[in-house]
Amino acid sequence: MTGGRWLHIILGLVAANVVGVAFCFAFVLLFRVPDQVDLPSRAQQWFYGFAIMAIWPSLVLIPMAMGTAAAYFWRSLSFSLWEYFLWWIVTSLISPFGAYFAFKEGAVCLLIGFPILFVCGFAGVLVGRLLFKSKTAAINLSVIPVLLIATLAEGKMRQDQRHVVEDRILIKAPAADVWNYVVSFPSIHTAPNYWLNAVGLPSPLGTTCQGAFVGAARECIFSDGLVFKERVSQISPARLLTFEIVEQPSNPELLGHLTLHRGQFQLIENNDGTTTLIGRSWYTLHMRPLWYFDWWTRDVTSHVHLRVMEHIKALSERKR
Amino acid sequence: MIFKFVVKKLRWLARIPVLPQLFDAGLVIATMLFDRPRLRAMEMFENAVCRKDAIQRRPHRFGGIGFFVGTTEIGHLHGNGLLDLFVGKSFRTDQVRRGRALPHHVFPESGWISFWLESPADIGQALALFETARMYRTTSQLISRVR
Repeated sequence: MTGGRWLHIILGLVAANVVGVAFCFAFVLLFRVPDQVDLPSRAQQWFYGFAIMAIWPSLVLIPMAMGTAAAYFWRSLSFSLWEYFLWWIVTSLISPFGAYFAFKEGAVCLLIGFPILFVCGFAGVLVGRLLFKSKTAAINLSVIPVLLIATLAEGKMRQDQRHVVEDRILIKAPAADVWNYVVSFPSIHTAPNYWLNAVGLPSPLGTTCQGAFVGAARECIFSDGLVFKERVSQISPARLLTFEIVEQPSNPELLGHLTLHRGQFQLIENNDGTTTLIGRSWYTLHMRPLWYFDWWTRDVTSHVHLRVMEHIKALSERKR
Repeated sequence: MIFKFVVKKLRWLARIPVLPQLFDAGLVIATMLFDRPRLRAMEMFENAVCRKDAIQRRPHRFGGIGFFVGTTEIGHLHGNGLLDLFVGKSFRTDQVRRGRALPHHVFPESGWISFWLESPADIGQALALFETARMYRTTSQLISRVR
């Protein structure tokens, strides 16, 4: 491979990541500054109206702009589709590694976000390779500012909403026996079987509680030394336990991405010696696109619920 | 199967800009990973077509690569190797009857035909169909200009 060819490859690789970083910084700037400066209400309305018109989620458009930028620099290299594909793998891996090392982003969040970056970015590469083959390459480059405007507008459409995840299991034990392990339970020793735990997502280990009364301090302990501090807000023995999350750990997987509000265990006596245990968690997700990250949040939360609830089930059934 | 479902049931989503390109990128990735001969055929076809005079490649509005003469579309190639060409109704009937092409996968009664590129062995036939489509489009353009 000649030096010029390498130079173009590296330029594409750098350009894609510079575009990605620039978009992210511009995004942060644009949406932090107007919030701190008192804008007249008319300007604000115009701003919000504009934001509503632009519906594109940033996580689709930023990778696409990155892919398009890379394709611009690779346009003269006569790449085959495989070469585009392989070089895009290399290019798209730089951003997550950069975010992990430079911005201390959570590895699991990056792993979850990577498929979006990769597929949308590759779509950008495919579009870019067709756009920039023609003699109108410079004109076609204007696609990037258009993507930028649409992307920046998306961020103002944030309307954080509270969501709830619910899981239930059947336990072959009466509610009174199950209740003994709901308020607090001894450590979980079995290895987690969720694949994200294998790549670094903390898993629940145990719970401690001051006592079975409203206002009691409760701690939910996760691996890696993470502790969720909770306070019991509602208690009805053998029926219901609700606790508010008063402090969540400053873990990069959670910070700025997810706020957990409340947890709840409900026990339903089935009158046949069995109990249905229901676990619920209320949370607000700050990531976009919501539909994508909410799917992951539900999956992760559900696995946390089920790990704890399976443990309660094993303890309750063993006692019999 | 997924492609069939998407183009039949979720066609309305194609109105959302960029979404067809995203879907097509997914198809290309799947083809790359699971069907190398098809990918080779797609690349060979694309290169052969672009060697022809006046044929331009552009991103297609339904995803994939569109082949154009000026502003007139000759056809487009999806990321799974499905080639759609406009040959007019009379040619369509003839090509389909002779087993050279399939009725269009979404609009079977229209003047469009579909052809699956599965391996490099299909290139010859695909190029012959493309030439028919190109002739049809450019000739009908000329006729309409003269009229």
